[in-house]
Amino acid sequence: MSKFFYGRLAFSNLKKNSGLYLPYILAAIGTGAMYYIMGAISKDEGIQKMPGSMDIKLILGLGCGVIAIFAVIFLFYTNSFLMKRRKKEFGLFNILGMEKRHIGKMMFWEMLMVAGVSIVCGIVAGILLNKLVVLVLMRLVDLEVPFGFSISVDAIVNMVILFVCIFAVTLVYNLFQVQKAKPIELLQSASQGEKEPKTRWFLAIVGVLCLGAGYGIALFVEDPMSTLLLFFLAVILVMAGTYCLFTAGSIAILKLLRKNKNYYYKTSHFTSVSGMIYRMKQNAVGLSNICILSTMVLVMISGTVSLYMGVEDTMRERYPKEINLTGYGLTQSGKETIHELTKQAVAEQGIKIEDMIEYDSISFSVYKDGETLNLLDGKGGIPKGKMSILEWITMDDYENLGGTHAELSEDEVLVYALHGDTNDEKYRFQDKSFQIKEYLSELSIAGTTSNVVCDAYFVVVKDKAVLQELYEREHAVYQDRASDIQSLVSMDVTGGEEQEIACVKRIWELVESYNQPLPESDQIDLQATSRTKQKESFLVFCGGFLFLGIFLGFVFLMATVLIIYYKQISEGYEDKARFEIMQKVGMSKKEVKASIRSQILKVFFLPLVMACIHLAAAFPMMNRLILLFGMSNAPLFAICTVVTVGVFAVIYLIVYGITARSYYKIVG
Amino acid sequence: MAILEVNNVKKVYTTRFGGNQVQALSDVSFSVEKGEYVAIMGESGSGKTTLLNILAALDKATAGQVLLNGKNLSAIREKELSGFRRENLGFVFQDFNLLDTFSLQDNIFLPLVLAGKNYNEMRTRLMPIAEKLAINEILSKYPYEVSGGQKQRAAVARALITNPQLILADEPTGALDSKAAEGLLAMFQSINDEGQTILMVTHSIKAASCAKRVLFIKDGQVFHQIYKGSSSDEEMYQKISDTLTVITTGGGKHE
Repeated sequence: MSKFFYGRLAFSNLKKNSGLYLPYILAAIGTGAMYYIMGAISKDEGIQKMPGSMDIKLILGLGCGVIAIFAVIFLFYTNSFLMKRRKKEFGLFNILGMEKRHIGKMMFWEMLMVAGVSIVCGIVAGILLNKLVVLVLMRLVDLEVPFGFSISVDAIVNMVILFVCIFAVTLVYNLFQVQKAKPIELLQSASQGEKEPKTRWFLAIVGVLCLGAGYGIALFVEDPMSTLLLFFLAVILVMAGTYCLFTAGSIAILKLLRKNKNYYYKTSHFTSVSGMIYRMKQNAVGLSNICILSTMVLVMISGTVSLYMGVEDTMRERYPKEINLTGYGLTQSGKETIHELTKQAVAEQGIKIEDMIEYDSISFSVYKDGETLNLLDGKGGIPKGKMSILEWITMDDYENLGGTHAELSEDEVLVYALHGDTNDEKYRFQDKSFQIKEYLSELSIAGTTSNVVCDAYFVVVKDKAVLQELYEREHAVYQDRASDIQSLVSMDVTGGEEQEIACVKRIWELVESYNQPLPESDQIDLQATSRTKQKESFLVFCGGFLFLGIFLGFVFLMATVLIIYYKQISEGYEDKARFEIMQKVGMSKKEVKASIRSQILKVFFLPLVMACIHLAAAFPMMNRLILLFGMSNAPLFAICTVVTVGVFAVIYLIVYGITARSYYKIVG
Repeated sequence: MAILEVNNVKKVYTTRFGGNQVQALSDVSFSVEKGEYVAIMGESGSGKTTLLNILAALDKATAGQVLLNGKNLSAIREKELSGFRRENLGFVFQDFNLLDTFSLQDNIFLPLVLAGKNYNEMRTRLMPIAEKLAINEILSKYPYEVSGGQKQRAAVARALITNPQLILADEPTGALDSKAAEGLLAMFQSINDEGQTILMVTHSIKAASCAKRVLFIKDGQVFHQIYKGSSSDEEMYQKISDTLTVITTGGGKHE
């Protein structure tokens, strides 16, 4: 026998089955290219030099891992479609006299060709697309695009190793499948699984409970800190619930419909209900996969898009003014020095201070148990209550910040609750008690707190003496870890962003040289930040996330498309015979077509509808998660989500239309 | 009264590119009276299946006409065709053609549901038929749960439930063991005794010998026919096999 016999046979097999293999190879090329690009970017030198490159590196590293895991699951899953369709062919070869080892040889050659083409094309596509992706990324994070065209050898090696492993494992699995099967089973395997599914009430109920619990967590858990932990629990519950509901719940519902004689024995329901029962059995897992992937795409893209869109807002809230100076434990003369240095720096840039606010505050965390505020004293473990951060300011500063004056005595306070209780009457702090005179409805500096992880309150007290006393009490317990009284000076300046940044830089320098000759106790402890500078690094962070979101969204979308395609094809072959019979028994072509259409529509849009429901339920929770990144603009988030869903639905529709055509071609 | 009239039907298949023409039926004429039980016999490739497809209005004749109850099949519009088939014809196939997604009962109901009948009416129609065909115990079972004979009886019930003018059976015993085949043939005879017209295409001499008349098709024409008259099944069997011997040894064409 010729040396290349199996090679040629394998080649002609692939050609004959090109309708099945082409999408598989394309998917492998796609995931391969994506993996290469992720790897190449995270090692890209230009990106290493970017501000905030650590964030991006971390995000991209995460993306690499996700794509690798995904590639394994996904290629394995599509392979099972291929095998199901091809078993008959292998059975025929077997019966015609090919031994299993010969078939194995043939399969080896097939896999070798598929792997070779996929990996080589994947690398080429990856290298070509890499530049484009870098351009997109740089655009997103608003940075200069480095020139040149780079090829990352490391990334190529990683990708080749990963995909060779995937294909090798797939081959071994396929060989094992063929090895253990009898030829007659191989011949018949395409027509297996005709039995009507049983109703699994237990599973259906478990599904409802899981989904309910997942939704419950998403809707009713308010505490953002526990949100992060519970989020994963909710995701797992919803995923489990989706699988259970698609597999058991759908069949239970359909069977109930069938029990209703008046509903079931109607021309339009008769074939579709029974057909759906049959279809759901075959497709439940695939459909829940599509549903979960779609949900992931939607969550990821809508979340990252709104995070990105909201950068400007977020920064404005966090830094109400362009230049922000924070001094710790300053004396009066220290404050004056800061004013002077600032004026000097601003003057040097040839710009002016436009609007300045100034206030002192002290903030520390307590465990709030009802109306009692407990400090974590290190003795007797964690005190009872909910972790809360309290920021205290004086009445004078409150008025300067635009608040209306109120007469306060020493043990009276005004409270603004950023999040937390709004119905306490007083706070008990050690042996002191503060009567809450009023809850404020707004506070101009409310957005400046970077904390959204736990409850947060702003408390207005009578005067500086009270602040000082609070500081001393806190200091007595927390000692070194105690926070000082901070003096905040924020201002807008005339001039552009560059002058703003230069100005802040200059303030640093001036403070530095002022401190140089002084003993440590007299030095000024000052932090100066520029909103523009902060925005840049935040943009890198959000842009990185958006990039990852779009990138992974793209990968998942590709998977969804492929799964739909394979479902349509394999269903087509199975439905062909059934529709022929129906026509013989007296169904017109038109009725058959209408019945097919309604079934397919229901089956394929079920995941999309379900994904949208998931998304709606996840919305409040996602909103709180996004709060962790400092964004608190629910309407913007809602708009982004709706637009994302709309775009996704259109893409889904197009994919459905294209694949439905190949289905109709098969059915006849 | 002739329920079915087939006049000079001709069928020519043309290959896709119009190159070769294959003549499946050259000139077929016969008629079936109401209440008759006719078997059509012929070798593979003699045109039996083509003829049946034309009678079933699944295919159109190239020339000639088929009248069912005086109505020309080729004149029925495409839109009404499946409705017409449903109301006037009952089909029994060699491979049963039951749908695995339906229970036997639902398979039998299928044509009625398509015709928009309600459940109670379907049920009243089904009961006597199921009784007669001895399938009332297994109505809720699925096709893959019952034997071949039971499947074919369910298929017969599906054909009967619309009270069709004519039952067309395509090799109904082809996939059955001899005992089940005998049972089915006995059933056909008793249905026929009650006045149901049956036209059956078959290979099997045994099956054909139950019919009241047997038509032989060769090379796309009706070659010969035998009436059973008062002869027994055994005598009929002998007559048929004699005729087939003549046909296969090429005994010349009877005029």
